[in-house]
Amino acid sequence: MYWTLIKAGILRKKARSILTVLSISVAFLLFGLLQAAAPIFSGQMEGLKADMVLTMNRYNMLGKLPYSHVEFIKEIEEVEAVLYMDYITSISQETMLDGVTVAMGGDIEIYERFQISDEHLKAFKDIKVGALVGESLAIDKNIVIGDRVFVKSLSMNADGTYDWEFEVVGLYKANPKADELGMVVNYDYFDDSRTSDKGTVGYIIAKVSDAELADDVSQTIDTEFTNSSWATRSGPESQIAVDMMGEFGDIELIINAILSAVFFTILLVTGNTISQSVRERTTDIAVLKTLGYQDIQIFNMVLLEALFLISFGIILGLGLSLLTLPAINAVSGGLTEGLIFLTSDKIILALIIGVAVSFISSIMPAYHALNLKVVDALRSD
Amino acid sequence: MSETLIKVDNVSKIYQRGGETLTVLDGLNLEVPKQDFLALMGPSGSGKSTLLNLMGGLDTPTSGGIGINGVQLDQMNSKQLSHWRASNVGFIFQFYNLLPVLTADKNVELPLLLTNLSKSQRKDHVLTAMKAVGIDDRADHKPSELSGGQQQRVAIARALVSDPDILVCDEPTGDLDRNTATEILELLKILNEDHGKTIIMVTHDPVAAESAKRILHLDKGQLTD
Repeated sequence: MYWTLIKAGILRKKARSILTVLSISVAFLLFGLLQAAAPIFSGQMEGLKADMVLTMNRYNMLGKLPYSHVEFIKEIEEVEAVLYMDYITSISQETMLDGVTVAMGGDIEIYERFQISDEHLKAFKDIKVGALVGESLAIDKNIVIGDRVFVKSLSMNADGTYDWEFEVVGLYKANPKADELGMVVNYDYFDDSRTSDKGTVGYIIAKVSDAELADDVSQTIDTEFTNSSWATRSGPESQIAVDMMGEFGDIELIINAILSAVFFTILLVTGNTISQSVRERTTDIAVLKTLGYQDIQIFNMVLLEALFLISFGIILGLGLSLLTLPAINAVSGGLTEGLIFLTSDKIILALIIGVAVSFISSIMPAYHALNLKVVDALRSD
Repeated sequence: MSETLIKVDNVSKIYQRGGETLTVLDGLNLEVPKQDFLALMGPSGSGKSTLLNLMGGLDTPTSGGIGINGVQLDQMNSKQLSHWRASNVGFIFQFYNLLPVLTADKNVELPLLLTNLSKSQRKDHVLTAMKAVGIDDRADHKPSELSGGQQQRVAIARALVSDPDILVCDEPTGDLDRNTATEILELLKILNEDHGKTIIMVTHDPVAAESAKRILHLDKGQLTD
């Protein structure tokens, strides 16, 4: 029954209904894309672990820490394994590679964001000039295992040059895919050979025995070095990224404010459409009541009409956003994989918002239709 | 004539319009036997449409009683009246009042959507009603594709499809030319004489009124006959 009535209502003015659905779909397309990108802005990226404690220089994200900090962290009871790394600053125009080069040492296996085969990892550890290249970078630069790669760095080599040469001994995959635009070299070789910043690291990552203990371990580390000139900032990997992004501003709040304004507009658009539709159909509604349709059935008809328009808009908008994300990923060469994604809870949120908007926008016109007096409506005709 | 179908017992209908009291019907008494074809005539404001609405269960009297087939309409609430109308009354309006985006058969089907009939059963009923009024060949046309007379036939089919005892007609030929009006009136006579429908028709047109078995005149809320 309701489907016939809804169809009659929506198709009465096709252009208006189409424009309303398009407005709604644009709102939900925006919702889908912003929510998919929100993890980047909030630091809530896939692959960041709660049981991995990240330690960096407290006052400078790109600053150094002495290797002694690594030794201290290794001795903490709850720490199972430690990885340390330093970025090799390269002069990209003069470098064979455009990617980021990282010198890693310690228990590289704990860094689950990088998937490295046992064979390649062994080769990396055995050969001091060995390098692991990210798959995306290898494909882009046609690099294969056995190739010699060159990096021109700001760090001077022991030979007096700024040139660094490595041998590709393996490849790695990463999540997010953007991390595959890089190369990993041995920290020990790099630190032994450089003439400045010797014995320093950029970041230390410690795997703790229990994620619940991550905060305590973080506090232990920071407390130890509070009064040091190498003060630290530590935290679970999954949380510290969020905290750091939060320092730029509450991006999530900004996104939600934008979306709230958009949905308020949609509320007005849909409400106006339904109100107009009910006003134009005063006689039709009166006739339905004369045929025996009850007030509550007419009320439900108006609510369902709004719900249908909104639902169609949601399907179109979210559907487009779900199709757009893989397209964005394809255009970026797969680098946004793991960085932008739409989770099921966001889709459910969209549906809840849609139901709420349809109800709020249609409740007054539905109430008007409910209370429409047949006699008065037919007389005015 | 046969037994009484509709009994209007001392019915009054009073409206409050601002501070003014408007008495549209004043202690009106009327009996309509089964299979009657009654025409109500009178000047504008005489109360004939109000009386029609009361007998059709679209409104309730301020005082007095309306009994139809032993059921007191004046004691029903809105929901009960809706339910009663769905199976006991068919309405025919001056301007047809078809839903413009639905085809003729979908318009006729509207009352049946309130029932538990299956889709195929509804289709059968619709076809029967449309054949009875001679519009079955236009089933898939929308109202905009039909003439005034054809639209009125669709409206009559819609009024008939749930097989009500009573047809309530408010100026059914008011928007039609003379020839088409004659066809519609002939159809109503057939529905009355051959199908046993009780018809109450409001009209300004004396020619239309002559199709009825009885003509009653209203003036200032009272029957003058």
